[in-house]
Amino acid sequence: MENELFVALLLWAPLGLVFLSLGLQFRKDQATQKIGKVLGGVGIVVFSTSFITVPSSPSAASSALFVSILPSLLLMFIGLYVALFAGDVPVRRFPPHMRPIGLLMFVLGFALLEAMHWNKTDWIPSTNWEGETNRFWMIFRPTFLLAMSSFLLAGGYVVNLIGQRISQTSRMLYLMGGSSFLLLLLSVLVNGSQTSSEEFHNSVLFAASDLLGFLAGIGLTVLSFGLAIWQFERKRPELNKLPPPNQDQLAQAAQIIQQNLGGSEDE
Amino acid sequence: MSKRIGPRHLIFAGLLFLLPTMVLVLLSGNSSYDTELGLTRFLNAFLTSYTIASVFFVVNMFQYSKSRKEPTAPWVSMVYAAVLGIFVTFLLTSQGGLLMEENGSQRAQILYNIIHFIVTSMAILTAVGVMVLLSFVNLESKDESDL
Repeated sequence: MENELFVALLLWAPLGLVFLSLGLQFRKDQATQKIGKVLGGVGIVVFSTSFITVPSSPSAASSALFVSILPSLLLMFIGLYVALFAGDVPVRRFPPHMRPIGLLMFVLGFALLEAMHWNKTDWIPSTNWEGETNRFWMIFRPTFLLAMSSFLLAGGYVVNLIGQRISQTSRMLYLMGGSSFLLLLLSVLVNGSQTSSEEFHNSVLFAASDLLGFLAGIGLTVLSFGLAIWQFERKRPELNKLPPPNQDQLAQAAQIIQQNLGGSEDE
Repeated sequence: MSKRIGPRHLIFAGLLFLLPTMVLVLLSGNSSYDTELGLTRFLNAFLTSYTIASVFFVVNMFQYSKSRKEPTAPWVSMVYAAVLGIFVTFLLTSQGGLLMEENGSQRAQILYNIIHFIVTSMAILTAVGVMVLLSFVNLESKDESDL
């Protein structure tokens, strides 16, 4: 009973804080948003340590997974962020020579994530939990590679249709999607350092079930809420049938325009 | 010049999306994959994402009701989501009882579903994040593309 209380306080409550923090980011009030960020930060830190504080809980394996993949994720996202804002964009934040460094960080992050599957050495974050392969690693990696392959291949095609200034983007998406798919096939055919190819193949097929179930669930939610919103929106008068704005509405519009004119130098 | 995206293009994009899964299914041959467990995983992922996304949308409907002056909007959408959720859950669980995986109790299964959802979401969001950032990183400058 006492252990359950600790698990609730040190694992589930922090996760609740992260969700609450996400919700608070949609509030217009900036102070509330800041409080949300602080709560989210505290939630993530406490959740990240739960594999040490409450190791007896089966869910603590997810916390161990989060900590072990964090370096790869940070390298990938910081790398892409640096490469993006060191490029030829009007809002450049880094000098152009940082662009290759950013791209290298992305490649290193991705390589580190892959190395965790193929190698078992002390200097690479471990995918083990309680003496065997972390069950959540066997969910994360197949889902990630499958989602990368599917989204990037479809994205490359759609981006190519849109047109201008993105032929390079389309090629890059195809290349990255194709590479992920090859890695997936390689893992299905060749044994990893701790998992057999057959074990991985089963995990990938389960990951496909997860991915399709996830998208179907989100799709149905959008459909049901879209239906509700459509019901309210269709009752509203069309834009060309609206009465002209009164003095109060004009004053309010002028105030909003005034607030959004100008901008600081770095914008 | 940008082309118009028609239904044919969307179908082709959908097929490209499903291509890796289809190849992996074809490769599975005589593997030990448990189809029943795969279906259970699909249904659990479906119900968990539906429930969590619905909660998220309901919270946002309060914001919608305030900005569009429609006080009944959150309640109507809640009824829609609940009715549809109950109907789908009934439909899915009436065939083979509860959607249990390797967990001992219903409570353990629900908690596992939540963690499973978080891990799956993290993997999908990472992939989508990489896709979006990679797209912008490779955007050509206006002068270059005009050449």
